[in-house]
Amino acid sequence: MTTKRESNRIVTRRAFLRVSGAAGVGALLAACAAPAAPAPTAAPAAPAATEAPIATQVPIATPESVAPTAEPTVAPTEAPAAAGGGTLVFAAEAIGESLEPGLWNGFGNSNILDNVYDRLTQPGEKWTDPARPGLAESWEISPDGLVYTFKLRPGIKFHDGTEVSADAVVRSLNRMTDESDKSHVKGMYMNAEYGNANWDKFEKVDDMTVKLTLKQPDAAQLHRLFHPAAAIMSVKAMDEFGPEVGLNPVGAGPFKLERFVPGQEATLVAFDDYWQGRPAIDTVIFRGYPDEAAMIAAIEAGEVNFAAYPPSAAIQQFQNNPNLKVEKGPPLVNLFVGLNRQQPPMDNINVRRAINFAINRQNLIDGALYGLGELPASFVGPAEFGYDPAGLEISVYDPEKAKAALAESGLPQPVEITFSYENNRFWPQMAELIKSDLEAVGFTVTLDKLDASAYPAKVGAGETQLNMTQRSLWVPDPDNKVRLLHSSQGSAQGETGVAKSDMAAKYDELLDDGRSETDPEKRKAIYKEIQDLILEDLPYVMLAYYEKPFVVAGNVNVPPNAVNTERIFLRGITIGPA
Amino acid sequence: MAATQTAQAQRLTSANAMAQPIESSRGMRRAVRFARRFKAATVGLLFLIVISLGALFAPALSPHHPTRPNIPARFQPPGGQHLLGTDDLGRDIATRIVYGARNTLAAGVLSVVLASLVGSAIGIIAAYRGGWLDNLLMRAMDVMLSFPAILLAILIVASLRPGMVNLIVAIAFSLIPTFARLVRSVVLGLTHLEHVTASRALGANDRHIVFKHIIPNTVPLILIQATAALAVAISTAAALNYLGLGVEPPQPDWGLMVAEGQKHVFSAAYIPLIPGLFITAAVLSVNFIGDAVRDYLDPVLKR
Repeated sequence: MTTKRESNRIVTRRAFLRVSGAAGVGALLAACAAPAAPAPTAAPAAPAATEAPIATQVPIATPESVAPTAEPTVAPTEAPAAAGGGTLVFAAEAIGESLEPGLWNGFGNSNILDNVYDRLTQPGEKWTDPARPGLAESWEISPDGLVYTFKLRPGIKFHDGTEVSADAVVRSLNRMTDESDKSHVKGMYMNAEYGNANWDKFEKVDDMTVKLTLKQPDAAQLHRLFHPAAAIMSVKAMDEFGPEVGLNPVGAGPFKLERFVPGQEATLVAFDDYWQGRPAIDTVIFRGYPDEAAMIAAIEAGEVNFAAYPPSAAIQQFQNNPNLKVEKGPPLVNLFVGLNRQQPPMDNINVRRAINFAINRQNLIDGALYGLGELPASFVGPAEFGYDPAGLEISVYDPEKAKAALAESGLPQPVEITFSYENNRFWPQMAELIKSDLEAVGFTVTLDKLDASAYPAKVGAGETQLNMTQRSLWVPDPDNKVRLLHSSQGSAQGETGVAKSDMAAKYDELLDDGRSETDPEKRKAIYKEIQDLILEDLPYVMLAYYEKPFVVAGNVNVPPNAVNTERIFLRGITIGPA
Repeated sequence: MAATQTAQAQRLTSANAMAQPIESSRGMRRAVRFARRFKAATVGLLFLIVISLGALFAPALSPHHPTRPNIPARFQPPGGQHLLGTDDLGRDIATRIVYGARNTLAAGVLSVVLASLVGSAIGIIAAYRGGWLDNLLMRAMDVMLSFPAILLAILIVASLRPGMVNLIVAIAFSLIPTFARLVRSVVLGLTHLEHVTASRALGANDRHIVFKHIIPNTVPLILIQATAALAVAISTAAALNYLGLGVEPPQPDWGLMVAEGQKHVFSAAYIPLIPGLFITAAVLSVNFIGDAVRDYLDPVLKR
């Protein structure tokens, strides 16, 4: 088993090396020739422009832009290089089996989805800003907050040349729940991410107008519509490929898919007719590196020039490498320990309090995250709407308080607990540090190290006592993070077991209030109440706001806000002279 | 080369001189002769003795805790307050090496002891009883031998649960066939020797023959096989621990330390390198000793 994988990897890696090495040389040559072309710096300004199409600003429409990646060396020899251009080799932690937006296929595939598809709305200037118009040019919201009428932007083309129409929009967002749809795949569930459970109906008004009717007002609805799952796809592709549309995605995004090898690699090329202007780079190769050591080696060797998931253990090493840039992301990723109250003694609030005060968070940030994190308050981070710094006083390291709380629990010490975690990234180090902290105040901790495949299943089934997870702000609204964990309809109930407890009704009520409230100030007050409740009830213990880093080669320019948590928009990226 | 030889000779003579006053015992002289003849084995033996003593008295030897992290002290290179440096969680590597020796060496020794007992028993039964039982046992051994030892061990640990006991059982299991086959072939020869036949003629029962005549005569061969197997067992234990199938972190083990440290190989190479060197040294030492023991016990090579 192992040997097979091993040999597979070696062979493909060698093949990959050959291709990407050639691509790298190609990019290098192209970049060397670049100074001759006028103002390559114009391109980075592109993402800053808000809505105006900016195609004219990007002086590239050269024939070599469509050169197939299989023979990248052709590009520099046959055509003079234009400003920008070049190939981005994107290292993902893995490439999944399908590009179906309705199913979860790992971070790497959602990165591809984000760049192949466009959506009705798009993120604001800053990640936590209000949503901007995307494929929808404008919208109207009824006074009761229940009816959204979207006007589509005319003249936008999908990669197959067909036009973005009301039919495409309605079908793309209804196909996940409509079993009669030709492209429906049984078991699709990602529609929850764009709030589809709260939808009463979503329908076509005329060719360029669609109407969304909600069951309850949802202050985050416009944000949810730019989740990767809310991809708008071509009607022709849905008809032609049916349930296989996940292998043949046709969107209206800045890049089109040229080649997809499930589980291994994807090649994207710039879409010349993209409505916001053709992207600066010509080609993006996505490659999965499930093995951390292999990824580190590939980054160091320059085989990849964009690493979205660099192993945290190697960050310092990358920082010392003059050919690489390490960029720190915003603190939008929550790391926390779920305390499953369905498994005694986690039902005891004093045990949960003891755990909260026992953990030395600064140690975790320095030791396991290599400084890439901030001390946490509650589930809403400092860059997000509704942040309440009061939590900094409670999510704090205080071993004396921890010992007192444990004594108050009335349990005989040491209290035996089992801590489950995923055996990759920084989790094992975190687990060892936390074990040591917990044992210092009177616990005995058994570490339960699980595979990436076994862990979610065990947690989801509610079979873990303590577990450790991350939650990223993919939809920049507090409802997105908290609903999954706490709502009795949420999909992540196994972490805390709250949904099955007598607290469920209380959380549900507050969550629904927070979602329905449209006045920002009142809404803030509700999320403060929720945070206060969480800090008192401790369904989980916050560890840190992780500032997820990414690593790029020295000549890759990433505009601010292209990378937020695991959401990455490659359109504004340029590759300059090396 | 010459210098070291003279130095060694001097050391040996001084050892002799020291031994002289206290009635130069036969054992001591034999030991000195052994050491002179098998230099590499002596060095290996000394290394193993030092490591074993270290493992035995680890708590007394080290002021540091083997598993408790100490973030401010992490990534300290070898030398200074930490003899072999500290790892990514600030734990003293030297301390983890001596504590880890408990796991690594214990796994090796115990699995070989287990394998030699079970394997020899199977070999003796098969050879002594013969017939269908012999056939059955030996074909079973053939099946086990048809798997590479490490693969067999991985299969067993993975299907049981990762852990120290299962690791030992798995390694022992993969070593059993070689012992069984070796002992069987030796015992087959022994049962037809004249003194065994004579003993039987005198009315000795099976138990007497096996315990008085057969087992004592197989011990030297089992010993040779055991030293050879020990090297395999130690490296297998390290390999399984490297794959995360052995002791549970944060417990230290040499193989596990290599696995945990390998992501720092570019920035702090000593973290995975040091435990790796210890594995190599231990396996080499055992191999040297094994060679020496074979040469020593082999009557043909002795002359």
